Amino acid sequence: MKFSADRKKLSGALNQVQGITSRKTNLSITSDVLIKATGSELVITANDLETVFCGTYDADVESDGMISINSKKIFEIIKEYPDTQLPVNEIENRWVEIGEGNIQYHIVSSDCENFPETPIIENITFIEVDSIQFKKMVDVASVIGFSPDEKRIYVLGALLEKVTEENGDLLRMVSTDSRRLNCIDIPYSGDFDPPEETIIIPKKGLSELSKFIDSQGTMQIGVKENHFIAKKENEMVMIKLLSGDYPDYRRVLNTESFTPIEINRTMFFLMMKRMSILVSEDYKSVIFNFKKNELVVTITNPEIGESKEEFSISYTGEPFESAFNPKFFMDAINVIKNDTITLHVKDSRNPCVVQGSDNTQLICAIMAMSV
Amino acid sequence: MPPLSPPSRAAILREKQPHVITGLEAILHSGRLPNALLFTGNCNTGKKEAAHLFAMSLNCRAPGNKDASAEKKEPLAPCMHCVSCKKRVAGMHPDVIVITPEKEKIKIAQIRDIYTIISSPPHESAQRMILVVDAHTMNPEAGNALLKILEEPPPGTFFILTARDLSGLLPTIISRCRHLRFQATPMAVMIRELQKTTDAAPEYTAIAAATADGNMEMTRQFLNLDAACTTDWIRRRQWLIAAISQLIQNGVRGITQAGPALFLAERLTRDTGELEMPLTLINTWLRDIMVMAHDPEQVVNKDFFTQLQKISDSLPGTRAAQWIKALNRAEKRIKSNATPRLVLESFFLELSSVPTGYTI
Repeated sequence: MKFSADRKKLSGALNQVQGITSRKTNLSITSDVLIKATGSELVITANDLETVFCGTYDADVESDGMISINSKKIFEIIKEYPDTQLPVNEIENRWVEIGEGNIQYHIVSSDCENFPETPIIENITFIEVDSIQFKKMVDVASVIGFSPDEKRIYVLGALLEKVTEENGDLLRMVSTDSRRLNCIDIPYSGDFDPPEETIIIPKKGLSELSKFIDSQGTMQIGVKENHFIAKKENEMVMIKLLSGDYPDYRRVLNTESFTPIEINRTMFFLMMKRMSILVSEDYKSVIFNFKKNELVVTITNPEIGESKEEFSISYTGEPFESAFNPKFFMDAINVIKNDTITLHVKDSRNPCVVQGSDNTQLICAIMAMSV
Repeated sequence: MPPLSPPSRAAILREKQPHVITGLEAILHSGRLPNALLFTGNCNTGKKEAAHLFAMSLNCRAPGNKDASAEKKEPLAPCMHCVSCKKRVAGMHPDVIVITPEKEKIKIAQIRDIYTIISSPPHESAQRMILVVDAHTMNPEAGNALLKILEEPPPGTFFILTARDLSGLLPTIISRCRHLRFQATPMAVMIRELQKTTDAAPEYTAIAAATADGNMEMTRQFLNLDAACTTDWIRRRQWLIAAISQLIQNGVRGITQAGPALFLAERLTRDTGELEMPLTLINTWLRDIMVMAHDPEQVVNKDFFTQLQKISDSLPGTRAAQWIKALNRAEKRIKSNATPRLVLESFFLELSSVPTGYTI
């Protein structure tokens, strides 16, 4: 195999796959990228057995072939290479020569036959979504993370499903860690007909996906058997789905008997920020005391001290007390961009459902803590 | 990842473990894969090789192997050339998950990791294998964690557990597995193989192989063939047998001296770790004393025949059996982290004491 390609383009492509190839798996070859040269194209593949990236780029290919080479090292070499064109040549015994003239690298590559197979994508109908909206969706879902020893499928992954509303079908993504839940809807065009009812996409893959979504144009997404696929012009990401059940999240979002309270976003955010100063690993809860037209928020941390703030709100219902984690409110408000937000509350046992005032597409629910 | 066998090793395995191969081929023929297989047998009897061969045959992509149920005589014969086989030989297959003991124990965290892996379907093969090597080293917590997935693995996933014997396994695990027993390598085959690499006398090779009870690794150490082992086991064996005989004979004569017994315990525990070999030697020696009385032909330590005869004649037959029991107890205690030196002191004192109810 021998080719030469634009250094910037290659560097950009390899930059996107560093997250995938740096993940530790039980196969050493997953830290490699597979570079395949055919005709006048390069196909670059990275695969960590969960997330697969596949991109096609133009190149001057002198002879066809395939190499599997350490992703991190080739990326660093390409980044530091001074010329605009980067020549790569596979010589015998899996040695790869990178560069020419004054600068020459000899890198040992591994047997490309051992590279994990890329899933075959055929006969699949894609739907089209706006890139900005889709990126927002993926980012909102990734806000809620998981701890390294987490085993629950519905915490490890986010749910993707189709919802039918009055003004057409929407694509919905739900993400939770059992203490809070984010739910976001975006419009799409096309015919979405997933083979399985519950599609659970691992959050690890979603954070890789987010890096690869452009800030303009549209993207195509689809689901086939075990994979979620997102593609743009020349690049594609495939994420292996998780199999398992997803709990009925709609119960959490049902705010029928709840009282809505409108609050200024910035004011509330700053208050939560001030409250979170006193939060520590053992004392995370802030007490919300809903009174008539007034909200009194207090935090008591025996290790540090206490704080109290009063906030006038338009609440006329029964007074009650509830406890929440202020960090969760900050995360929720960070993704809701409206100037005014609405808190839906009921009593100390029910969650607080946060929404932008004129925005029904993004809902964050925060579970109350028992104190 | 354990090294896989080149094609010729498959043939050797067929020769060594014909029953196992027949059992595995029957499974392949029937096309009904059990949830879990349990391979038991000594070290080096080809358990891991058999497991890998089985997984390879199940997933081999060579055209002839696709319809393995047809008239093919040997379904357990992967092609070794297709992508699937090559990756497995290289130890690079994403659908082969091997769990090996970490610091001599399989821990619950390792079993929990399996849950994460199997929450998504196999990557590229039809049947994913989860190989739990030395399953007897699982602590009860890990064993119980394994039970649930062992009972109902997700589609496209099967388990193979390997263990030395059934004793260290939870009964609930055993009952969920199809059990295949690997025979110790026939002595003749082992001696033939060893004779190619050693210049020791054939008689001594036979003694070493019999002492190690078919354990190839240990036999090689007894023959000083293991480069990693610095002890001269040929000389050490002679010394140990002489010391043990001395203890026993003194005891028989009614001279109970604590000194030599305590010294022996100290000497054996001076280098930490290496207790398995001396204990095996002592075990064989005691066995020989017992066997001598009934069938002198079956004695292992033939090079000490006259000495054995002398000891055996001076002892009641049940005495050696008691000692073997005491030795097993001692081994168990050492395994459960008792101080080896104290355990051995107590055992050697018992060896050197005057037999109760026996007069000279």
